[in-house]
Amino acid sequence: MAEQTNREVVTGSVETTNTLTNDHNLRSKMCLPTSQGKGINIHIKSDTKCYVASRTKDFSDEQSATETSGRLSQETPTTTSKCNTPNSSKSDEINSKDIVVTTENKENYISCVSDVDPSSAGSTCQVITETSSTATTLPPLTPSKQAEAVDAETLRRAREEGRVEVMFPGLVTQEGCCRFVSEILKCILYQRQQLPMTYDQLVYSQKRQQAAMQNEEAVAWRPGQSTAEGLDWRRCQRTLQDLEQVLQQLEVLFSLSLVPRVLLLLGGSLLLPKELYEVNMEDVILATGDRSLRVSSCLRQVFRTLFVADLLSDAKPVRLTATTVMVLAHRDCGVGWFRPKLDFKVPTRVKSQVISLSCDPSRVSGSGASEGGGQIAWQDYVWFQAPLTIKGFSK
Amino acid sequence: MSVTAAFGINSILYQRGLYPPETFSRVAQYDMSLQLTTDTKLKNYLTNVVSQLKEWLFDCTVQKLVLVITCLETSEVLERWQFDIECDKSAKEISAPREKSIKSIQDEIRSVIRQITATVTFLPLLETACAFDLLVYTDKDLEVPDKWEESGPQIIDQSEEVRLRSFTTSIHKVNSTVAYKRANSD
Repeated sequence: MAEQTNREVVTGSVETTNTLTNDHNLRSKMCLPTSQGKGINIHIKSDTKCYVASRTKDFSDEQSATETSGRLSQETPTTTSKCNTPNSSKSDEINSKDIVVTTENKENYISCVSDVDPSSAGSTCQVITETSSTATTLPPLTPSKQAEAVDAETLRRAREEGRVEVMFPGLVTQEGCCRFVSEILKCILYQRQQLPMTYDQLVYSQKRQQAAMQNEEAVAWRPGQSTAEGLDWRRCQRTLQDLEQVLQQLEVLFSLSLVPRVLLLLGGSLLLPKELYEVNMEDVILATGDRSLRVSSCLRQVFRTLFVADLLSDAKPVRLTATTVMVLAHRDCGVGWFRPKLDFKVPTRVKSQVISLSCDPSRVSGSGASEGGGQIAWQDYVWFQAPLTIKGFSK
Repeated sequence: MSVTAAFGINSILYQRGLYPPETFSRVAQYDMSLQLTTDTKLKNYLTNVVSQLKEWLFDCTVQKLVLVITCLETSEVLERWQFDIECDKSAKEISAPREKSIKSIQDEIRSVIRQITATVTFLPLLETACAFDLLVYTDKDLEVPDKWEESGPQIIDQSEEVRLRSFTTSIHKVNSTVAYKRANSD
């Protein structure tokens, strides 16, 4: 980046008219001189251009082609699960223990159906309403208002039903499904306070620690040694290794079998975990050829929906615990690392939070989806358990 | 509150990649690991801003704190983090403000900061060099300090918005939102 010379603080003021409020909008005039050689600055005024390095999170896409094809049917496997029809508002399960995943503070329930932008002449949105002789047809919603309405419904459904639905506007690949599960696992571990930072940040910190240790002339290795950033090095390393192994083995499993459901059990036992999350992909439609959505865009859609639903964040501290991964896969898929648990049944005495991923069925015909995939024989699918648990740590 | 604002700003600058990650160091705050810039000049800048903000917060004259991220080349506003601050002025007047434990406050702040981190998973990539501005909405009759100037709101054209959790202290309530430029379909 170009080096910038130091600039003096600009003392003259620029009068602007704030047309939106009657209040002052004040902006700091303190000019931050550049760092020589770094090209890092803060833009203060329009005549003092400054440069800032940007770092982007990489949701790099994989190849879009897939070897497998088929639509995961809507049949459910033999284990019991919640039945959440569009008209149902309660689970059939016995909720003997509530899992607090939301608090009262989240205030993004926006009622906007009646708050219509009159300048929506160019809107392409349509709201279908019942009409009667006395009813007034609502003008179409603007895209932003429509988005707000969708967000409000997402939040309502998450709070009342413990379910978040994400419908992709197209087909996905098996590799994409594996990415969805992997990223959701990482997200849940961080948001449920089992990791002190995100997985990517932990990996970065680990590499910095390793580099720092290599640079030291004499390394004194002691159990429980902390990193320069206050992390318990050994516990961090152990958890990262376990998590990396789970992620790698998930890739292997997804290459061997369709995986319609993944369970993440936090704490407690297999019979009665403290928290239970399900990634349900029964209604995912796999693409053949190159007619699939980009994984990065799907991931953004998933995480934005999860964010709006406020399914994972919690103001209350969550105790450190161990996370078990269960996957539903074909009994003869030949996976070696995951262990079959033929007698496992999805816990019903704890409320599960379901993240349901699906594909828009209207995109199926002529779009490169598998032809004649037919119904999946769910009786051939059994639960497999990861042979290790991911132990949370906080420091 | 001003300390929280400082940590929040640092978190956003780190998570959105406006500054290289190696220019941040981890510190323990609110019983969690947070990123703080080690860049001296940026630190000084933020210290000055936050110290002024602290005065306004004490006087209950600040209504919003906004962090705007703009494209350096085009000056287009790409992201807008807005923190709406409600001040309970009566809490200052009476001898005993509303009771709220430090632990409870910190729990809520921790939740918000974790949410800021989570936004990285869906906010559009900042693929160009960016800069940031800090805007403060104050009462109209406030005397403008020397080092500040009036500014427009720097609203994003065609934006999407998500709301973060709110948190409250004994005196203030903060509602947070992030608006970002609506991305083209991938």
